[in-house]
Amino acid sequence: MTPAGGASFCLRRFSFVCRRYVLADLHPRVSGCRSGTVDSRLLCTDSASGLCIEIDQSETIARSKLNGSGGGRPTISCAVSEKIMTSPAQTNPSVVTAEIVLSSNSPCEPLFRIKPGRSAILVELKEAWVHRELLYFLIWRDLKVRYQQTVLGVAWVVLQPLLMTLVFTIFFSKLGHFHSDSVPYAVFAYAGLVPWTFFSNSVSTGSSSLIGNTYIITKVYFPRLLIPTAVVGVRLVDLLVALVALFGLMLFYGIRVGPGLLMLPVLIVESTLLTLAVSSWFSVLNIRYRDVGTLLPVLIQLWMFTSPIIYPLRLVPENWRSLYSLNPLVGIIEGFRSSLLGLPFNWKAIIVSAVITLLFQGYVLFFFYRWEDRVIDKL
Amino acid sequence: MQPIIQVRNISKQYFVERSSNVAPTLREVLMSTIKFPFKSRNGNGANGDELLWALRDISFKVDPGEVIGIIGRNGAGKSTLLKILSRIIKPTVGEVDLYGRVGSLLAIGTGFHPDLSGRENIFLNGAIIGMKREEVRRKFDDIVAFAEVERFLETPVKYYSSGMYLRLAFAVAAHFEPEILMLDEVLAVGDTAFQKKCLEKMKQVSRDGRTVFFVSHDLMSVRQLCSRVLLIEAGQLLEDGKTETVSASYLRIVSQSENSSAESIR
Repeated sequence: MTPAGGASFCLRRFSFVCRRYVLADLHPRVSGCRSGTVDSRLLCTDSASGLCIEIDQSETIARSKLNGSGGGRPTISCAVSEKIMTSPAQTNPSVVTAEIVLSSNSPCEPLFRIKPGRSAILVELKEAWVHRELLYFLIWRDLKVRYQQTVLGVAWVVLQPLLMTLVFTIFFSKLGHFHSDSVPYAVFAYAGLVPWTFFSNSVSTGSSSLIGNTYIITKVYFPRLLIPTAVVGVRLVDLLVALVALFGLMLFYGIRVGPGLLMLPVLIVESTLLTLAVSSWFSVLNIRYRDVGTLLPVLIQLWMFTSPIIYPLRLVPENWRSLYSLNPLVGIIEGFRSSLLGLPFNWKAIIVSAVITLLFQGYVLFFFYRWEDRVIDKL
Repeated sequence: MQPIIQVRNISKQYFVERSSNVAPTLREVLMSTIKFPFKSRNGNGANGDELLWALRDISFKVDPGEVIGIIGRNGAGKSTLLKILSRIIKPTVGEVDLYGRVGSLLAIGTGFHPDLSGRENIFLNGAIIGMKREEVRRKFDDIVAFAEVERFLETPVKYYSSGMYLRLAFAVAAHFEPEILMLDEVLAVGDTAFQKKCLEKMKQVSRDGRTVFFVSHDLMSVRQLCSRVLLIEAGQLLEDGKTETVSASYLRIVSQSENSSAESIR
């Protein structure tokens, strides 16, 4: 079994049913081997030859790969099915033998147990993480289709807030004589409209995302949270594109970026979390109550005017400001503007909004998982 | 032998709402809260709802490598059972232990997007039914060859003929290799030659030691594929056994109900 001068390891009892393997009879030179489940990747090294033994079990069929660390060495791979297989001895001086024995009589834990009620939120989140590749595909699908269908494609991402900026500039700045701190009103408004567009577009598409994907949801299992998350992901790409355009606008007006720009990633994360929470909340509410879909545009409109998007926070009366800042978008939008245009930060508002965002996100996760299954029954 | 699936006393209850199948409006909920402030409203229990047991107390065990047919009349609960086993819906009571990855093909081409090309849809559909990108990449050539769509890989699938579309969709699904596969009437696609190819593929899947659940009305393909059959009637597991015996009882039930309905017409 162990060729002279070779490293050997023996993979005993790969249980097809339990998806669990047990290692036995390890040659003392083989180190770093552990027993584990199929989903984990087994990696061990032969301490003498430096051979790296990798068994990638990402699939039903276990395959063991033995890669030479010196490079250029031949790779042995053996496909293992339900019978004992021994890889042929190599002509290479460092011969490695792999043996995998399948057995299905060891008692084991189920891979998954289907039962009524919901699992712990952490378990659900882990499940969502396992399916992250699907999230990528869902985002990729939406981006691809959108850019194929519309004539202007990616330009819309910039045009939408830009046209709104134009409208607000004409009405508020030129006709209403708004004063927008120290920066030109157009830049001021656009810097606020970019995060707002991200938020409002995500919420309005996200709210109908579960209903819109009924066909997939009722035919195949995957964590449903991925659906509203994918919507936000698509809009996040839009946000980044729109930000590039903003830098162009700032260049045009001769506004220099300052060190405040370092806060931008933090603010993007904060706004994504908030957007995600609101979108997934409405996606479930929309199935529970039919009229949420009708009410939502009004709510979004209201939210827009109670956030400092087209006017500065300064315009809100002093004694109302604390109450006003409870709107988590206040801190975020003011933060975006300060970070991009080099204005002083309103730290209090940013922190308040971060706290509210986190609390709300927690509530929404609880809500989502509580209602998810009951709502799916209705689809 | 260690079973690969163990189903213990599962039941599924649905609420059938009085106003067809739509969610309550906010107004209705508000009104009922005002009228009955202490009544528990767990989302579903609005007054007048009817409870319907789609499945009642189903238990069975399946060993690895078995090919199980599920037969029964329309509305018997076959699809509900398959959906519970696929984790799409949860049972109201009971538990299911799964000792392997489950892949479900309850419909063909789930998530196909008409505007994307054949190539793109293979990857998208693969991801949706649960394949890893790497897995799709490795099987890509086989999938394309199986579907016989080599020439149209870069064409959006909306320009495909319906036969090509179904062939591609089935090809992706057929190359998915979970330990437990759930199939809901998906074999009924394409022309006779392609159907034969699909049936052959399914037989191969079971030869590889995978467990297959197969819901169908077509007793012919059930007889060809399955070694064991579950007969479901009105949400209950009526019979569980060898294909010949159970399909005979199924035929008896069907003919009985036909006779009785014929009599009621008379």
